[in-house]
Amino acid sequence: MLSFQTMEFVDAAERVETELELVHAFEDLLKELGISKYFLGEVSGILPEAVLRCGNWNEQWVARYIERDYHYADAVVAKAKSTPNAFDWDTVREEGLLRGKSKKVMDEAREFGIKTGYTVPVFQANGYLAVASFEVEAEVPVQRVRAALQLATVYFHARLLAFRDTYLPCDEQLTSRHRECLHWVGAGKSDWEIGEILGISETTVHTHVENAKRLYKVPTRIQAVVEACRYRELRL
Amino acid sequence: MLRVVTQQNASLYEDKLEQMYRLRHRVLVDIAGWEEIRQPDGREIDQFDNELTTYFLVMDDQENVVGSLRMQPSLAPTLTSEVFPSICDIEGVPRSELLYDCSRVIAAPEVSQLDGQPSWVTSELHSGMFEFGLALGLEGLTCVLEVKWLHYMKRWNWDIRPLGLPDSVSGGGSVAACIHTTEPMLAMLRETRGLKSPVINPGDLGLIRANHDLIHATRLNKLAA
Repeated sequence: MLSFQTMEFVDAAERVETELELVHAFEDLLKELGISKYFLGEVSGILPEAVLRCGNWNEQWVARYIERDYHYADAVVAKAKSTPNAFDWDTVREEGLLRGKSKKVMDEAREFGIKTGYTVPVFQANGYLAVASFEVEAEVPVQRVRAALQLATVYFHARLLAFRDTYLPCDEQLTSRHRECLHWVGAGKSDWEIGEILGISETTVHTHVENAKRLYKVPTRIQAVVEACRYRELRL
Repeated sequence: MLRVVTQQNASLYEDKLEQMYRLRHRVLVDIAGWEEIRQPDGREIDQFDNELTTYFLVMDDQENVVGSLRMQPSLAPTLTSEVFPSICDIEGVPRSELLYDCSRVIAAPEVSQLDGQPSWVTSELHSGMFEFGLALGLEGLTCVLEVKWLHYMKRWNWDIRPLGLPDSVSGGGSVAACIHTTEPMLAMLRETRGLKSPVINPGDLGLIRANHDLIHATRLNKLAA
């Protein structure tokens, strides 16, 4: 049964036309799986605040977590960075990852009613990491529920990002020429100067920089440099 | 450069296939740690390496094999149908003349980039998969892959549909899925990977078609009947 319900969600995720419909379909599936609370968010700090954040977790807790940059200390995030596999929070405890500040984060979560959970990491290129965490009421979910959560998260995350019109580094890879040109733009060089340095024409340099601006959907050359740095495509 | 090897031209590629078995062992056992398929002679080879198999070999400028995959017609026993039927729990393992099972997709560690950024080797293999499907008018390719790869493929906007829930015994999860090999998908792949032209040359495409017709005209349709 679970696999059919999950497939219904997978198909719905492809079909829905609005983010709201997507979220409803996901929450319907969660209800069938006996899960009421969830949170999906980007935790690697690559995307600007709130570009990818979704769920019905205790709002005060989420606000506090973000305000205090808890993702740096959170053992769940640390664990998600180290494995492509989904895991129960209990394993984080058992592995002795809860010490000092990470223990404090977990203890505080508990005060907000989040006792234990199950987390599915979402990996993408260039260190992008999102997590989908599901609050587990009493006992850990059975194997098939976890499998369903793992699969549904793939389709939910991908479609949600598409709705938010968010691009990730893996979609918008710069070529090495783009990078070279942007590097010299960042150093304050003109197209003509960059052309001289790289041994290519001024027009070609101009085209590369324009392409990079277009890739990142930004109006100025300097913004393209900034975006490239933020997405770790470039180091100055 | 991508080369296609079938039973018709395998004799010309014996040393390259040999390199491929060793590369598979290095990547899958020595690096990825699949101990259950470790072989004393360092050649990773199983019952799905047979006369029905079509191989893609990606070679570097020195003609060394740096990446490979294999395709098995789905009317024959495949890795998915024989080893992973339990994770095809929606409609069972799909079998048809219009489906192939794709497995052992690997790239040498020297050229593979982790972290979801496909290397040129992986891109040639991916493009080859779509070109193969289109050349034969397939519905798609079934495969078993880690959930992590499903994340990547969805992010690349591939049309990929699961065949069941992942197997989470180890927590990691392998999932069976069908990749639909359509023209727009290939166009998008070429665009995003910067591939200007097909990776399978016309001669090899002819070979793929001839081999497909041959194996389906003889053994497989009888097998299916």
